[in-house]
Amino acid sequence: MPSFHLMQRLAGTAARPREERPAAAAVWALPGRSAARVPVREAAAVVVATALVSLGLPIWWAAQSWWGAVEALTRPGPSAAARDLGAPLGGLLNGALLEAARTIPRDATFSIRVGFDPPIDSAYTDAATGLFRYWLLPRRFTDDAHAADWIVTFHHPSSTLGVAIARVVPLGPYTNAVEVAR
Amino acid sequence: MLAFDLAAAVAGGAVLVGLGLVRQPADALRCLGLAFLTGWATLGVVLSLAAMAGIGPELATTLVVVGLLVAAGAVAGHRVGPVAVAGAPAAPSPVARATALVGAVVVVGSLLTALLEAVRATADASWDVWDFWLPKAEAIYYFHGLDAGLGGFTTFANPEYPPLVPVLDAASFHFSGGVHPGILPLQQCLLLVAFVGSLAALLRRVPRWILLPLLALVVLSPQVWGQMLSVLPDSTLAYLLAAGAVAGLLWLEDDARAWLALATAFLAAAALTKTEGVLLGLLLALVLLAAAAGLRRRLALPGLVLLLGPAVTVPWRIWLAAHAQPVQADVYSWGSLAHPVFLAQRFDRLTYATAKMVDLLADSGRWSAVLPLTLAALVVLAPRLRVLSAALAAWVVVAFFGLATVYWIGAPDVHWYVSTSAYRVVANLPVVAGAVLPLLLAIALERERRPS
Repeated sequence: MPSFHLMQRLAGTAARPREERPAAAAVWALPGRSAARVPVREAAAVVVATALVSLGLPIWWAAQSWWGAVEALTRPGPSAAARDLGAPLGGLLNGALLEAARTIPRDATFSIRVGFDPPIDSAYTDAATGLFRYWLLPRRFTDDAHAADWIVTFHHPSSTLGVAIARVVPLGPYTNAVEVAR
Repeated sequence: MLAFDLAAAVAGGAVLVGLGLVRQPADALRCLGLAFLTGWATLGVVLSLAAMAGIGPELATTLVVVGLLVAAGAVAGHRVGPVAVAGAPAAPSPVARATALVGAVVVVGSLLTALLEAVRATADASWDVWDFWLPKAEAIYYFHGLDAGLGGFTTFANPEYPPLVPVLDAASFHFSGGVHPGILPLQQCLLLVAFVGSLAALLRRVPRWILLPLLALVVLSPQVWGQMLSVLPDSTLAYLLAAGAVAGLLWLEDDARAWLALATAFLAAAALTKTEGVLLGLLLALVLLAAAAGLRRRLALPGLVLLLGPAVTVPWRIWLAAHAQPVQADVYSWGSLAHPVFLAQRFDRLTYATAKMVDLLADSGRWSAVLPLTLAALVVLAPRLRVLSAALAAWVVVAFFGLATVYWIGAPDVHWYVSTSAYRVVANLPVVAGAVLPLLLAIALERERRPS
């Protein structure tokens, strides 16, 4: 069933909401007040005109975006892997991330050890663990390096990991994948 | 991804048929954006609940849910009569027609530009995206659900955040045959297009010379434009809340249950999208209920259905508790509001946060004229639309202070907390206000035309 009330509204026969009824309207129709009401059409026109004026600069920006996007279409795009990775941390770790995904088997468990050897801005060390965890899925991450099949070291010496090492695969500057010997 | 979006549009179309909002092929075309947003929201809610029940958002699961929604929509469509949606009157003058044309060109041109940019976009490299939003989606995809084991969903930051967006991303990965974060900005852009299409479909009664320029104002607000490719769910939450608010106001005005159901679906999706979606959605539901009581008391009882929207977060809290996870954020507790001394000692946090949030909302470099125009319009419309104007104003105020309260009672350094999140969370206010503004103007125009 369609809404009976809605059909009535469309036909103009419905009971009007309380705020539209004369008794309610009278509250606002104080002497000298009703005449001061701004006509809605004029008010809407002012709102729309203001909106159009304030759109001037955003339209210019959008037009620039349009030309930029059209020009970009004529250039070769990034590879699928580069597109999926984007440029977290300005792309500093991209090479190591891609190499780690090639090196560590998808069914392996892994851990990450981060250090300051050699020193590096803490913005990178703070981000390194999360970035490797993200990019290396579905490899399961564990905090316990001794329980992991592989350990990714970032500015951290492999010799101080405290595990038996099967091999060390360089991933990038001061970044290695260490396979744990079993 | 397009196959997933097609499935979402079919599911949403079925919901609209079931609600009586779509009957003719022309309706389906006109409501394509609304169908996609509705389907995306409905699929998100159902697949999230299924994931909590241990059923992952695999290809088969999604197709079964779509099939069930289509069947339910077909059955309901035969039982429910069509909802009569009044169209807007013809433009009264050549100037009005020209204004509508300019608005249409700007809206369509902006959305085409957005799509063009999205086609070449790379994966979103925002910290929160790779730190937990995308890993959670990948964990669901690879481990076939909300795996709470080693490397699973709950091992990433903020495990208590609701799962709808990661679940839907995982479902789309199943459709695209692998994890491809590079296409998610395009998906986000399609959601923006669907949002604009939804507003155009929901707001048929609004004269085009009003609707289109005001839609353009929202779309081209620097904040919306700047975040259109962001995979962070903040924009999505704003779209859902805005669509829910518009549907809720249509329910108040027309008393058609279809709008009530649609509003509830959007509020449910909002609640499962982000933590603040529960707060803002609940406040919206309460404001709509209060307005219903003020306008027509008989609306209030069926209106309680709106509370089901935010309540859909309850199964999620139960799932978290059953898996030994925190059921609330660990950086703040609403229970703190019961400790006056605690609140007084950190009152400076509230004043700092509110000042910064006001700065953000008043910044024309972020929001153009959206909020000032809405507030000015509310003042002008208040004598004619007391209840509806008061409802929108009340929601903006309580939502603002609700968000500010989180900064007040939160544990993180307030400067860091505000600077990293306030610009995103306050975005809900102008987007909702900007979406509702054309409807209020149209209703006021209708009442002015109608003899008393």
